[in-house]
Amino acid sequence: MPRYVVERSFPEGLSLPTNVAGAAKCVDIVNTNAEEGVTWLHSYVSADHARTYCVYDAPNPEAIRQVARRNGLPVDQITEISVLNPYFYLSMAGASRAAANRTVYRAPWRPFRYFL
Amino acid sequence: MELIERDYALQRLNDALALARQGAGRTALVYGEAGIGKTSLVQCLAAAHEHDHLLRGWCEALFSPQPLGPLYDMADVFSARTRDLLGREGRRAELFASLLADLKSFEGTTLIVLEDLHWADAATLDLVKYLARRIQHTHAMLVLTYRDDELNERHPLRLLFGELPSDVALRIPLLPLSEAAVNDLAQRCGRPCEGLYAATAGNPFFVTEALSAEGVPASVRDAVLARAARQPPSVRAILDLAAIVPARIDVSLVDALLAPSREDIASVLVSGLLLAQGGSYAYRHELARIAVEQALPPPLAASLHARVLRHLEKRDDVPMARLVHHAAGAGLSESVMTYAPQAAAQAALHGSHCDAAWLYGKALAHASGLSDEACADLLERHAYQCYLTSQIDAAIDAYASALALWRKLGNVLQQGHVLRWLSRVYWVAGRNAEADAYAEQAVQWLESCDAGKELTWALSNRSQLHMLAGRTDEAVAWGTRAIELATRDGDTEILAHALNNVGTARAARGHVDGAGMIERSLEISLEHGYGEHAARAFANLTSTAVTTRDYTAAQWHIGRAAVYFADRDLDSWSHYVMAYQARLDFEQGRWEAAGALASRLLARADITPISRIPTLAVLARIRLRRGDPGAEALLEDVTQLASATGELQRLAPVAAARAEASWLRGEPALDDPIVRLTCAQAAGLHDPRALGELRFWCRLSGADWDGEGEIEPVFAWQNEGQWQQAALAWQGLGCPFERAFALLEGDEAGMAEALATLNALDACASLRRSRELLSRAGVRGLARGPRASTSAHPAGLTLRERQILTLLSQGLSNVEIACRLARSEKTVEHHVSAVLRKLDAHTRTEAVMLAGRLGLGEPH
Repeated sequence: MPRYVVERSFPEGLSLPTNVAGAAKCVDIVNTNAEEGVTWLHSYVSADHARTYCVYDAPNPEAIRQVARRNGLPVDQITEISVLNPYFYLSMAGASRAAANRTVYRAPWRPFRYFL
Repeated sequence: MELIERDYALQRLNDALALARQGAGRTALVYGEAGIGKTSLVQCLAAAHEHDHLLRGWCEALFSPQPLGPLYDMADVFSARTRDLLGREGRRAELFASLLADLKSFEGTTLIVLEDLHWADAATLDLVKYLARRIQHTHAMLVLTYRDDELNERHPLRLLFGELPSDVALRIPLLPLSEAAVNDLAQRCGRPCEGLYAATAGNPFFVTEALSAEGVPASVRDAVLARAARQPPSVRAILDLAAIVPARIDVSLVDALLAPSREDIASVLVSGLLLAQGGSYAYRHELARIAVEQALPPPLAASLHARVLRHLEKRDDVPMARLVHHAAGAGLSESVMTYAPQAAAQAALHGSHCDAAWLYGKALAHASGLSDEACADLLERHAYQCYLTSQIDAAIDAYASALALWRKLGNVLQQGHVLRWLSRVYWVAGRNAEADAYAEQAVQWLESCDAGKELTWALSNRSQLHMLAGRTDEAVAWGTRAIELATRDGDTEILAHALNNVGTARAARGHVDGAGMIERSLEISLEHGYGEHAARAFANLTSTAVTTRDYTAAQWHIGRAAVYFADRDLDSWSHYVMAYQARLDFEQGRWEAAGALASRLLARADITPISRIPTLAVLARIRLRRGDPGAEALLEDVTQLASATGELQRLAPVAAARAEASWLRGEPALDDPIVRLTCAQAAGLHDPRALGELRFWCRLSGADWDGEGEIEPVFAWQNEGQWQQAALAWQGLGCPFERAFALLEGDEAGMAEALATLNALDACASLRRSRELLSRAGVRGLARGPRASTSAHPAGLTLRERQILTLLSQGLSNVEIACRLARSEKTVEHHVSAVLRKLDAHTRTEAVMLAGRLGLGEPH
């Protein structure tokens, strides 16, 4: 199943409260997606909640647009992607313990935030 | 009989049978390796439900399978009408329908068992497909057994599984026994269990054989042969004879050939290798039979086959497939040559064309002593069956050999016949130039002699090739001659064929009488039961209606065709018509439906190139316009396929897509050689629709094609700047995308509406490019993003439209809404149609329902 990134824009800002209503909306979306074999993996949301970049596994772009319409979600752009993961590369190339120890963090480490 | 470790499988079968009892039939596929106990499982199931009807049929490991063999096995329970239709030429659709009617008329539950489907012939597989698709509404359950380790990638059974509806087909794999079960069985027989599981790998048949042998045999073969070797020679003779007759051997045959004593019969039954069933003996398992058969020295096997053959020849109720089997086993060339063609003809009668082709091939391999004439006839039959089963290269070779023989014999009529067929086969192979050449030759040869029907066929064939290539005048000229001759001689089949060709040629150029001629062809075909000709008529009615933008007529034809095809499982024709349904939906702006249908069609493995091409073109254009990934790849694919045919009807949509893609990229469309070539071809063949669309995109992308040629009026108006008239025409036809592009060349209000339409259609890429071009042209105020409040609302409705939707859901009419909002009725109508379009609804009620579901309503 190919993987896609779907860009959406919400001019009034996306709001998905972390309560029962929000969870119910998520379940609705997932169930509607399942009707066409579309899987919503996760989304990245801009700081102003106006743009999202959603990662999906789907059989084809037509299925993504169909379920987006049923869910009432806008679609700006769909791009097919392949997954590039640095840890996969490092493990394949057999990076040694010593090399890993040599890694220096230049910036102070701060955790990312989950969308609330 | 008690089965070990089969409880789960039995339970699933019983559940399915219970469902069937309530009127919801199921299909169960029981599969596993040889000797795993499929037949035992089915017998257990049947024994547990003795009061129901039980129909059993077997497929046998013959040289070539007997067509509809299993059906003949169970024929007694069916009505006289069904039995009558069995074996009548060309009545297969009726036979299947009659069989289904019989099933529905049985009282109580029916269990239909078809065993060893991996040896089935093509006609039986078609029957399975027919029943499996229709069994949900009967009180019957279909159980199929087969060996999955005997199926390679291309086995027809694999294709069949793809056709079975997944929600009513149960798959029941049978697994080898576990070590615990094997040891348990050993203990029950009081035998030691060391090494038993290791040697047998849990195969139930092997286990039972090993348990009744001494020590632990190395394989099933060793176990069986050891048992056989213990028997005295007279008993061994019976075993050998039974081994060369697949599945069952008649008692009468054994008595006639060997005249065994009663003690011998008793010994053979006691040995456990043979069982007595009804009037025949059968090996306990096919594996045992094969073991004994393979142990026979070849001369002995050949002589046994010959003796059986001589005996069977004296009787007249023996299926041809058995005679061929023994003739081939005995290696008797003349017998093979006598019986194989007869068996092939029988197979063809039943619709098992693969088997027929193979049998004719075998006959030809033994045809050294045959006269030239008989040989040529055999070659022609072989070639025809190969053509029907898409073995095109073999068909070409066989027809070419036949042609050489007829030439040697100086038979002009037959030469003409074969030339016409060569032309047809070359066209199917996509070699249009050779097809045309042979068609010309055929007509020339047959005109020179008094050819009658053959000449009429050759003329109609010539007409068909012209029609397919788009050469209307030639198609009509040749076809009219064919029609005259066919009417004069009363040849209804040729008349139907020729009317179809001429009608399609004329309809494709927009002449009104064309459709009428195709309808007449359809009428004749239906009346006389010419299935393929009727299907072709439906297909051509659909394709010409869609190409000439007569969308209502096209939808009507598609509906009729669907009913006709569904009854007969005419899959490849229905794919073609569905491809045009996708194109119809696409041109009318229903892109979701079109995309869904196109994806479904393309997911099928068995779709032919002529159906793939329109489907790929539609999906490619939808993706191009939406800016979705995968458009270029599809376009490359379909360009290759369409170029291989060289026909304008296939190339035109592809070239239009490529021209549009050039426009989206900002390049002149005429830089693309395919676009240039297709423009020239369309002008040369006088196709205004193809030329109109192509020149539109060429002009938009910067450079118009500068040749001569009439184009479709709508596009002509757009070229001349009459955008309002064009937009109105597009609206009348129901083509929102084309209408938007007409409006884009109009005034500001028109442009705004055009952009809104493109937005509603989700044509993101087209929208972006249009905005780009408009802003470059200095048009202000339009090249912003969609209004903030529009996209905040999921369906893209404006404030005004949401207001109107709320009023609609309160049940107000257009006039009342106009009063309420202090607007003119015309404006309200405009907004209501915009609402319907954006919500993809056909009526106001649907729109209101959708609004409720999506949670749309009055803005706060």
